Amino acid sequence: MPEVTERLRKLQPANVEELARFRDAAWGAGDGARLELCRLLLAERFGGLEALASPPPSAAGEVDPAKASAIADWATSPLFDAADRAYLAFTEQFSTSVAHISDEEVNALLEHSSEQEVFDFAVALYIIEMEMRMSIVARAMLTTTEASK
Amino acid sequence: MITSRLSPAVMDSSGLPHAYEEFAATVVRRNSVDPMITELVRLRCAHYHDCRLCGSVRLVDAVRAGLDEQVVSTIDSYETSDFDPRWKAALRLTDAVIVDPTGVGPELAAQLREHFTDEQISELLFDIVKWSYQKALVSLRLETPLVEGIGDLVIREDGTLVVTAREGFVTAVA
Repeated sequence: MPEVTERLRKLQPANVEELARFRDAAWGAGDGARLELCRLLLAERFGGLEALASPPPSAAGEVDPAKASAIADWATSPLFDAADRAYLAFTEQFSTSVAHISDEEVNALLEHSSEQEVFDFAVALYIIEMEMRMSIVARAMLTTTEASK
Repeated sequence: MITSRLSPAVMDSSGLPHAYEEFAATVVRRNSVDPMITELVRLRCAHYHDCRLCGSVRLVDAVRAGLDEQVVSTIDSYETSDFDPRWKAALRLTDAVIVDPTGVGPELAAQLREHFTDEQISELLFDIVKWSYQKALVSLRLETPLVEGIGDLVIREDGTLVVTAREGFVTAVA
């Protein structure tokens, strides 16, 4: 969604710049392929191809195209292993109702990752997901020209 | 009783909280929106995401502007309240982002433009993103309140957030 990004940059240049720095740090701290897989799931939840119009960051890892195509069916598709499923389940619950993430869902992540990795993943997921949410709403709420009020 | 799912030490050993704080400090220094609106948005995020830390503090500038516990307890039922239409518009924008971003339409855009400029709307959008950092903490139940009861939240000029308890306990928080 390059148009809305440019509109936000004109309206809030410092915020957009700092957001980019934070986003880069978040991607750089984690497993890029895992984050990209989870980003694809969020994009699918938020409108599929339209939300995916934003290119992945340079730190995003490569996701098997077959997995990317099957992302909506991650819970049943044999393409996804136990670690994928743990992270995708966490991502889905994080986006649907973060307050209802269970101990079991976090423990499932800890079966495949350290506590530090899980924490960094949660922070990265936060900024990826919230930026996606903001962009979708901004596109619908902001005018395409300078504010008139 | 809610217990942390990870050792809180992970927050100190990660570089990401610092990166977040730099972003957050930039966002909270913007002030084209009045503090009462900022606080309503912050508390709506706190309530919806069940953040114990964010729900345990009140922005001092908003309290000075008239925020009281009656207002706080009404936030989650704002649609049926007698809140100012400007407050309601800001809360609807908040819900659009944190609840259902794909469900927004021109009606909300028209409501927002009755009360806010694009600069203010975009500032609110960044506020909502900033205050939703709690999602990372809540998911791991690391959002332990810093004070007993209700604390005061101050935004310093450099964007640092400070929570103060009545006993005089002071600490910087993200």
